[in-house]
Amino acid sequence: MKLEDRIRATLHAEAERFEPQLAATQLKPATRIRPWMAFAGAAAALVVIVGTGVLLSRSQPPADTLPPPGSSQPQTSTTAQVSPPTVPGALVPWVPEYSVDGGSASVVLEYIEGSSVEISWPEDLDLMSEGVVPYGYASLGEAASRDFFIRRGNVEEVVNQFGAATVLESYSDMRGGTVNLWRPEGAGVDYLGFQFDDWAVLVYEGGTQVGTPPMSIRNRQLWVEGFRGESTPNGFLRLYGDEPLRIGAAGANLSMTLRSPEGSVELHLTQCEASEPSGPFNEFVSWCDESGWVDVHVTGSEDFARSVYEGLDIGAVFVAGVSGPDSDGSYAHLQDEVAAADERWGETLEMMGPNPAYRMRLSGNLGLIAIDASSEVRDGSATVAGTWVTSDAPMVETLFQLIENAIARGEEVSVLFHGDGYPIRITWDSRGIDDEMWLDVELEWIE
Amino acid sequence: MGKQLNQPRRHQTETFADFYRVQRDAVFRALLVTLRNPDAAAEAVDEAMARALERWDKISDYDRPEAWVYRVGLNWAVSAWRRTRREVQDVIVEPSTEDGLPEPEVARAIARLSIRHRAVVVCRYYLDWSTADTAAALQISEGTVKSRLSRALKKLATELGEDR
Repeated sequence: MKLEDRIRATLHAEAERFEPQLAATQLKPATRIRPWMAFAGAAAALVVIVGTGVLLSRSQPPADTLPPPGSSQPQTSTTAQVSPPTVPGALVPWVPEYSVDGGSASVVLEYIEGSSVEISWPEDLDLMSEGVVPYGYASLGEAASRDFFIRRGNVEEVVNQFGAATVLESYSDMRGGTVNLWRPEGAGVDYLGFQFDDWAVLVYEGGTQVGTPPMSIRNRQLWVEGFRGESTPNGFLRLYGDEPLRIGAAGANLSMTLRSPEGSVELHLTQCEASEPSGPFNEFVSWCDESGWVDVHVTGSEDFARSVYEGLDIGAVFVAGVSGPDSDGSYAHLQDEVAAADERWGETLEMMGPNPAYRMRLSGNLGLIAIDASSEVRDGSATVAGTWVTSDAPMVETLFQLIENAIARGEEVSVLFHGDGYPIRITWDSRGIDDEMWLDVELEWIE
Repeated sequence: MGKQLNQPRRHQTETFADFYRVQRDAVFRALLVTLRNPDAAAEAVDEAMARALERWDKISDYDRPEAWVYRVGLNWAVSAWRRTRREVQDVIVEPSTEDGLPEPEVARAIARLSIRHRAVVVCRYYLDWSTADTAAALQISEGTVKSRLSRALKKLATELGEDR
């Protein structure tokens, strides 16, 4: 056989040998939840029992597998959804004041947890005319962190960008303020809306379209009372959390996005190894800055990406919570802080105790990739809905593959859901894009 | 097969959902045999799909958006490895006879290629893309595709004891 044919046969055999249903051990928690990724978050907490009730996979993770604040590990888990919320450009973008000297512009970017990065760039490079947007997350001893939708402006204006929004509930933050739970029409996601001076911070609340249960009353209370923020003197947003709410520290999910008509630049504050660009300057390219602390992602045209690479200069980097480099110039001691944070996280989980479980019964066929449903939460019962393209692969896909295989074999399938929600009864009436693929799911509390 | 990227494409009316349903698994498997790590391939394809979704208005105009997703996923994965200071070799899943492969020694030889060479091999012999398609997908010249492929084949032949 020719060498080329042997290669071809081997590659195809390798590609096909991967069987998602055999990868149950890969089930793991989503480490953050974007609003349109939330379905993955729900599945992260699923425990699957197939057929005879043998426990195949437990996805409620041990504490040491949770996303450690400050970790430099990539924490990405992505579930693409057909209709993520989009924000029409009604809000005025915010551009921080920057100085210009000798054709070079510079500014100190302040991250939400207190870190900062000084950048400079050629004045004629349009780096941020469409605004600067901070990004980050916080954790509450949950299996998944919740990330923020942050915009400069009034909460009501911002949340209405998703659709005409109504207030479902109002809560006192015990400091004289009010936090509303918003439901934008058609967005399929509810948000807790926080106003911190000039900044609006929306915290995805779950429920409805994206398929995750809402926060428990207890967790909602912890968010409302423990989540604080303010504008810094330079206009940036600074966030704080009272224990057990913890603002995400430096890591792959703490970033600042600079927007211009030509593209966007994300500056992820995370420990990395200085590197050359990851690939060609087209559409997406990334590199780690010489500081070893800023991972630069550029999305845009080749000209724009190349101009950013050649012109963007990253100066002083201050990482909050890190006293400074070790004598050898490294930040090795940060690992100790991360380990300590992990330990605290585990204690928090233990303090919150196990969540009650409920059982989900499924019948019918399942659209493995796409699921349609309709949803509403009312009076302690809910029908969960939406159109998703799964998957936080292999997590969701593996889960559904397990279920689908079991259904195909004619076995009875039950799914235990370890969530942190109310003791509610949830009925899923899902319908696949293909009419041949359908699934009825019923959840009920079993303890 | 063999179509150039970035031309008006066949799926003008295709929604992202349709594209995702049809292409995700194929791109995932291509990344799987390139990266040789299921977790990395899954994260890479999802990250690239998320970026495709954000820019779907533009990406959907490409003749072969899946090639764009493959490239972005590959670049993202390599970048992620660098971020975490892991060497590519550290995460290679060494194939064995237990994996049911017809010729595990071929798989092992492919695994020892550099990722750049392996990407070209995957594009040409797994995805069956033409030299032009491979060049467009990986954003390199056709000459580079040919030279990388030639070197990769020579190395594979040497490791497998074949004359070329």
